[in-house]
Amino acid sequence: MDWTALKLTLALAFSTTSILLLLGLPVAAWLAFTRSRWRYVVEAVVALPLVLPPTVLGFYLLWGMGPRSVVGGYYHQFTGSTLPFTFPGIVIASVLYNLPFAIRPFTSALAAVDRRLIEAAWCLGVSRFETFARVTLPLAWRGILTGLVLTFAHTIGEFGVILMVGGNVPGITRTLSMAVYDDVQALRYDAAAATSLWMLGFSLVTLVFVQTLDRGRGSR
Amino acid sequence: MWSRFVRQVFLSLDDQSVGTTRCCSTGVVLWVALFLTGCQPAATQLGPNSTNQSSASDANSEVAVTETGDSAHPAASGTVRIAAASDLRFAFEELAKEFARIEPQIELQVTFGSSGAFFAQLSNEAPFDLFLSADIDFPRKLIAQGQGIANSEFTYGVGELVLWVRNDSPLKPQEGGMRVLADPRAAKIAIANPDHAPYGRAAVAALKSLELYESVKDRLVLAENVSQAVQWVDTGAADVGLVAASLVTAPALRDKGDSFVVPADSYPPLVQGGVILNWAKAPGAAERFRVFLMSEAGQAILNRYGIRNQNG
Repeated sequence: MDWTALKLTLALAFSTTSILLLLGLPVAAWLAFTRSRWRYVVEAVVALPLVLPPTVLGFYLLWGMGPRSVVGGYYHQFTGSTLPFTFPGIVIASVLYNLPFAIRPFTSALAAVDRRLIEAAWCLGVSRFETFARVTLPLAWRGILTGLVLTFAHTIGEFGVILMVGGNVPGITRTLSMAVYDDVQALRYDAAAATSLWMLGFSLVTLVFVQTLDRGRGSR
Repeated sequence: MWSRFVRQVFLSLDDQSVGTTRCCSTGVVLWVALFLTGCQPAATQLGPNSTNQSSASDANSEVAVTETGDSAHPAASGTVRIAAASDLRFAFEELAKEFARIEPQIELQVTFGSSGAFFAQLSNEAPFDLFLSADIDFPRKLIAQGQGIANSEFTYGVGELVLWVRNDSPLKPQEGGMRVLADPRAAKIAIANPDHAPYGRAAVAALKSLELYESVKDRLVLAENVSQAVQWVDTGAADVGLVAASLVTAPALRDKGDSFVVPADSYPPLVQGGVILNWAKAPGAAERFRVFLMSEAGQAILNRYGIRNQNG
């Protein structure tokens, strides 16, 4: 078992999940309640990583984050380092790659909240923001938690994008899935088997947890 | 896998749009999500039945070279499936063109990747006829494992390691040589993964014998194979690379960067060898390609791409 890779993978998963909670909730709330026709476009963009091969995303990221791109250039100016092959670089990649895994469950959970309760709160003079924080969110917590767990789990298993922009640096970008890949390529089957078994167990536990959440919601 | 993948996604999109009636749609979305997560490990699938080699590794790419012509030599025909070290990527285009002229009835289907990765796949009987490795040890091991045709191993050249930077780089390898690696502006140094890529192994050996390894090891980034390392330098993602001469001297890259030849005595020679696999479907055609590689014409092309003849 590669402990450095495990620590790094957990750090990546926590960062990605927290960022997507902050970034994803406003987007999901907008998607759930808006009647704008742009909604469908935004939904499609959010769903893109489900259909786009990781290689395509990785290719765009490599170009978009490189020192000769606009974003990469500014980043280089301010921090003196480049984004590819760094931890912030793979966090950005995995946030983009996990957009649908967070925002889609968030959106359906928020949309499923009884509209009458929200409107009742408004009628009682509670502000929109406070209604969201004190009525909508508490009612939608299961779906939000589901999104977070899925994002976390999916980040743990991320491979293609990391292969494209990671650079396989131990302790910085070599995640568990990369470690398994390397071990298999180098015929270290024992090491690969140990890591794989750990990941299998983790994934199974996560799925059982998500299913329990889902079941709980159905019988509410 | 892809059609299922896409269908699942569209099913989920459908469900999402009708599923405004409360919660049930999430269930489906989740299942799709789980499905996708489940699909990821398949990307490294090994085994005799993995016919789709381009999915065997995200970094491998496939080029099918098809030529139709009148069959002058009906003796050997068919499709030769070749697993080739990625330092051959550019040289191969020319080799294939020339070979198609001589043997128009033989079709070549080539997949590029790191030799070690191919060795792992071939140890599981990946469906190839011919393996062109960047390191003769891998073909020898395959024969020892009883998977390569005995005595079919051959040495087709010796690879060369170079230090390569882009033209607009502040690093000047033609003045500083290997010392440019000590420059802090060489923030990211791209090499192939020494775990399974011969050029990566050679790069690490050279860095160690030149006593540079300790000072650069935290700046190394490891590519899946040597052509990914080149690509990282080319896109500017990495500042300098220790890569195959055969790639950066090719017309596609020749004018885009500066290189410095890593002293040949600083790493074990990259003797490039090949082998015909036991389960080859077209062993005769594979043999023809081997003969062509070793012929004057084949060797001349390889030589032009920086893969030197063993005795020259």
